Amino acid sequence: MNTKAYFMIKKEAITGGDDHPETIRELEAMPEVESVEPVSGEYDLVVVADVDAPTRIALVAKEIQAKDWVKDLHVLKLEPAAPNPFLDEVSSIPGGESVHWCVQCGMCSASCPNVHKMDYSPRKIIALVRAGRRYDALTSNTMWVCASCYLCTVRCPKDVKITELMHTLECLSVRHGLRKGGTTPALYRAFVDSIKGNGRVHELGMMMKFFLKTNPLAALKIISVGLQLLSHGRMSIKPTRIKGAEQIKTIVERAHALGGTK
Amino acid sequence: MKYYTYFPGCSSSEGTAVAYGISTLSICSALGIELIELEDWNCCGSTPYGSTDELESVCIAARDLALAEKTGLDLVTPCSACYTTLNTANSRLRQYPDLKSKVDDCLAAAGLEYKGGVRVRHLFEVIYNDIGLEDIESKVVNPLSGLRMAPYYGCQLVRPDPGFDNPSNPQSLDRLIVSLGAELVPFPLKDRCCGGSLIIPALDLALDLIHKLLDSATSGGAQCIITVCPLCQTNLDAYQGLVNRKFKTKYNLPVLFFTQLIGLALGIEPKVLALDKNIVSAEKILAPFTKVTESAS
Amino acid sequence: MGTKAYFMINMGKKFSDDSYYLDAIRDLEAMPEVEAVNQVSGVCDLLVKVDEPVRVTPIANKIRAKKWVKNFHILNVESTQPTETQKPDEP
Repeated sequence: MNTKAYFMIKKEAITGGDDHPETIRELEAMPEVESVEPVSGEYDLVVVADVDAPTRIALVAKEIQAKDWVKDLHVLKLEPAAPNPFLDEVSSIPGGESVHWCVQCGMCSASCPNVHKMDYSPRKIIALVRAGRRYDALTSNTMWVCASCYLCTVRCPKDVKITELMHTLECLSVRHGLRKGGTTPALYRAFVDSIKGNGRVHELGMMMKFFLKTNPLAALKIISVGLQLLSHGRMSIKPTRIKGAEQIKTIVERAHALGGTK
Repeated sequence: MKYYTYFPGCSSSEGTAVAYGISTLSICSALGIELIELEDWNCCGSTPYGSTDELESVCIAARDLALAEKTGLDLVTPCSACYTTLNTANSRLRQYPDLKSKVDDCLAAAGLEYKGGVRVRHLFEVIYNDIGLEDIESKVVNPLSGLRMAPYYGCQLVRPDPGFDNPSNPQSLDRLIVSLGAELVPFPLKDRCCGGSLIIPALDLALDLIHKLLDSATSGGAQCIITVCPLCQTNLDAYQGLVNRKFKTKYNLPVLFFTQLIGLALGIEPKVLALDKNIVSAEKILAPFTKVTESAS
Repeated sequence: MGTKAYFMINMGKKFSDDSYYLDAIRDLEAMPEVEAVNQVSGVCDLLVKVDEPVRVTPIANKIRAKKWVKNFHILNVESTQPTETQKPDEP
């Protein structure tokens, strides 16, 4: 990653003649100097330097300042191009920092079994995050279509934790109230409510709540499956409530008060 | 005797994979392990909670870890989703001290504490490593000879943690099949996704994935599929009828838990192994082997 | 082409948080005379490069008038054309 800096140079007072071309040539000969412009005002020269490590700026500045025609030198270090609060937000969540390592090779997209149903492929959603496009990323269906199969994660050449990034995007989408009105968020909500209420997931109750909230008619498609599971003793009618259900409530309330992982 | 703290998970204890829980407990003494259920365990949260709130989800998983820590034993679960969720919570708490201090705060509010010392393990890995295939093989009284099995790992046993088996071409379940005397069939999609919990909100998406798996297993000549995950079993078994309806196929492939097959090979009765809970009945293909156990009892 | 200049701008203390920077940068970038805006750290906060026909005074005054500008310095970029004499016309 290249670091750029501006050097504002004030030259020693020159007696007669204009030696700008010489000093400019001298500076341009330095490998880190990208451009030199003579100016008039507080300073005489504006130099743009491009170094491969931030620590080199001070060294280059020192080198220039040592020249006998330099009276004064001020360094202006370039701040990051534009603030990217969305990228910062994603990076601050445990598991999200790996988004910086992506080289956009596309291995994740190629591995994903559900990519054809996603608004943006895994590779693209990473690009969106890094471009700071919060709205597009968080309103997409991409992460909700992810099945958490981890094929992308295992194959990524840069160890980006893509599946975890999907979970992070889902959490952010929920937190910012941007979750798409799809069925998967509704199911997850019913699942979580079941835990918050009883400490366990009561499958029948959760599914009923889900279908009632989204589309009761959709339940007809799998009613045959439900009946078979019921007749084979694989669906408990009554939910189980653990003794520690109150503990769960306390823990969740406290987590809520602490406001997330940041 | 080897002792472990047992975390069945919602599905295997009284949900759609109750047969998994039953068969697991029934093979314990034969294998020389004792699974002591974690008292008052709560749902691990799985993918849905992890996709809702990143702090809350780690907290509720940490409650189970805190309770398990008191037992001083490894925490063993037969469910791949619980395994991944509890493992992820564990490693996050280790890697991110800021997160740990917040979680500690939340647990303390409920009078709990987790120091970080629990080892989370999958039942299959425990049987494979702690008991060993050689030991199991020596105990086989009813070899499942000629039974053609496709080993289905699913996703979350071998991924993302590469510690146990090769994440791209796992072999452990393949080897178990051979140890039980059965015939291993080639199954290229053995570690591919069944859709998991997406079967409910995204039925068609999941049916497509299940169809691919059934097709691959059938092409290899499988008579049945052996699984290590409660969601995989339910998806491949209970929804096979819907796959047939959608794709005009005629799959009739019983999907069994590895614990049920170990039990059968060890001479345990089919009833005890909850084999009657399968939607796609395994009665016919297991007939040559169940007759042996019935006549022996 | 035209006259180029650098403006070194210091922002008022109460305007120095991120949200103001973003607004200030967007504001400046929207001006057609502004070639580049860089947020910097050093003797000033923003380094702006402008390109105006003839004189930079109009754009300088426009920017100087903004409420978040505390200090403002102009550096006029001088021409670097070599001052060699022209070739005599061919007879």
